[in-house]
Amino acid sequence: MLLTTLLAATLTVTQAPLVDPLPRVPLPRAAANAARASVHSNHVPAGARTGSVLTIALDVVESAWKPEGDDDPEVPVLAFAERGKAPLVPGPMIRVPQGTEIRVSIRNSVDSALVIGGLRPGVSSATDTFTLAAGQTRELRYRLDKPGSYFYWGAFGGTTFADRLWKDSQLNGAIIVDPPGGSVNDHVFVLSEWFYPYDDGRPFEDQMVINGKAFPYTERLELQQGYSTRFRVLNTLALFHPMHLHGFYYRVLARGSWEKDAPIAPAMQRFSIPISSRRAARSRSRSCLPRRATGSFTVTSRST
Amino acid sequence: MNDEVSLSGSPHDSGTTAPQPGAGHAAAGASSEHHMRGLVMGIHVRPAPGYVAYDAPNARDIKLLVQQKPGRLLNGTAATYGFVIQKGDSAPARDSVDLPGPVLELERGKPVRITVVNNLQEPTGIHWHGLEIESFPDGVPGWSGLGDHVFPPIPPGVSFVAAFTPPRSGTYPYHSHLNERHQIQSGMYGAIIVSDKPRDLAHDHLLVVGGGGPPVIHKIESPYALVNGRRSPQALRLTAGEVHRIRIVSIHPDWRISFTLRNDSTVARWRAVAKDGYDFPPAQAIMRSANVDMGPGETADFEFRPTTPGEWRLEIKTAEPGWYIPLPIIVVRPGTT
Repeated sequence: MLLTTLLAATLTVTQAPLVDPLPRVPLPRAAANAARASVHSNHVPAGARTGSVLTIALDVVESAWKPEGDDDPEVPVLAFAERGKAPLVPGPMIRVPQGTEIRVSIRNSVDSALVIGGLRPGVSSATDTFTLAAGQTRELRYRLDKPGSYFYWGAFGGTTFADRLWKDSQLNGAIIVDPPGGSVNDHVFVLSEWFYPYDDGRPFEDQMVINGKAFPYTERLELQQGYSTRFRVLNTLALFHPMHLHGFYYRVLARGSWEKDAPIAPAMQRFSIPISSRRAARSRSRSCLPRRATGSFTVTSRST
Repeated sequence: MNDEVSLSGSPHDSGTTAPQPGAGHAAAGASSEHHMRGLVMGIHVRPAPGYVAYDAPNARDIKLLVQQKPGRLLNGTAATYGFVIQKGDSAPARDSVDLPGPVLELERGKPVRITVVNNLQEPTGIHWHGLEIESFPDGVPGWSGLGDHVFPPIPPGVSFVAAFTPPRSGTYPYHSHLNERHQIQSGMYGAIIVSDKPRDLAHDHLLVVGGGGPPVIHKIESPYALVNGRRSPQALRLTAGEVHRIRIVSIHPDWRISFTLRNDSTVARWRAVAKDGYDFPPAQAIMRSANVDMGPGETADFEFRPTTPGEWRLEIKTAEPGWYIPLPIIVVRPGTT
């Protein structure tokens, strides 16, 4: 994150002392009625699919979420939940074959108006985004006709995707539309950030997570030497993230955003160590594990 | 639970909320000194049937010393950290440091054995960023390795041997992978160039853009930056009508950096030939406007053919408000010395 006022000294400061951190202060507390959010790794799609129809009911609820370990701090967030189930961070994954009709009911169960976007990828953001008043429920029916990786999101009313800070920062869920015949083995990573700025000049609190957890609590992937897999990276932050896969290259197959998908023609696909996921961007890549590379590797990312 | 505590990614972080090391990969990378936080995932790669552990027969030896000197970087930290290569049998002075680290010139397909000697007063680990190598020498303390054979932090006064064969020609960074924000910002970064043949240094130029000292305030981006180890980098000297390769290593941990090659009136055009150590396919190795944004750990190679003598500059500045360092580029007539 960038606090420009603190950078004014830039290169003219030559002997500035390192400033000690300010005393710790309490984190915001979750609401008394907050439900404990579960984290998940986007392995299981949500909703009920019958034939070519997926029916899903989503609620936005007050939640308490632990982005780190069980004994680490719990912070308040709004989260998506399948109606009658625990809220999830990231939100429930919608994953369907191309051409599936989606019948979604979405209810705002918090006391603030919300903006919801991204549920209908392929539709422009101007028409896909709608407001849900506190307590309001809305029904949508549409078809997902374009294979690809997308995400839906929520934000406080009167704001937009890029304005989200902490309370509404985890209102994100993956949408995967599989082509006829299905997709190869893949992993869906939703990147998000909980960012809490104090209003008294203190440094901020934040945590960045993949599928609801920060390292070292993130999912451990178990892969086989010589095996190929596909990463679907959904960057829901308003930040760039060069992602570096230690020991391997990606082949970048597609780039896009929450509202569109853009496969890359084979002649234009290139190998890359980092994939630069930018604001509201999504990259899908495939990792090839060469014969010599075995052991434990990491995917690292730094926000810029 | 929520009183007087912070998330581990917070500016108040003292590491006390992070799990302690020593539990193998279940807690790997969780050392309080380990700053790989947040957007990091671990991958266990099981060996395929018939897997044979890598060996480095007839490897070329490089002795890379990690050292510190009392001289201060831009922010006034007590010491500059960095690297120096030992040439011959005599060790260089304990306070000698190259900034950025010395270029590790490797040959594609030729085994190398790099002995890292930690002469710091704290542990470290060195990562060869982007090289397709085995996990163990990859250099992430408490994580890299296979099974129980896990790369440990290199304690002060101890050496570690990283043996590998670089399979691909290209431009890469190397850097500390322990207490990264402090050690990298303090000078522990450099470039690896893997080549098929000796480089023509009159036409092959390297820029390493990195930190010039840890941040003044925890968590906030460090405002200190260096290009080739200097705030006012030495000019590049190019020859009109000839093709020059410009390799850029962006290894400042805190910033996305914008590079623009221009003169007072025109942004130049260059050919993008490689990214992150991998040559572009022909369809992408095209002439384009000489402007690129690069995040931490990225590298990019370009070819630039100036047509006439004159003065250009590579504008190197943060993509968001921060700092700006111009690199002068002087184009001379052929035959000019």
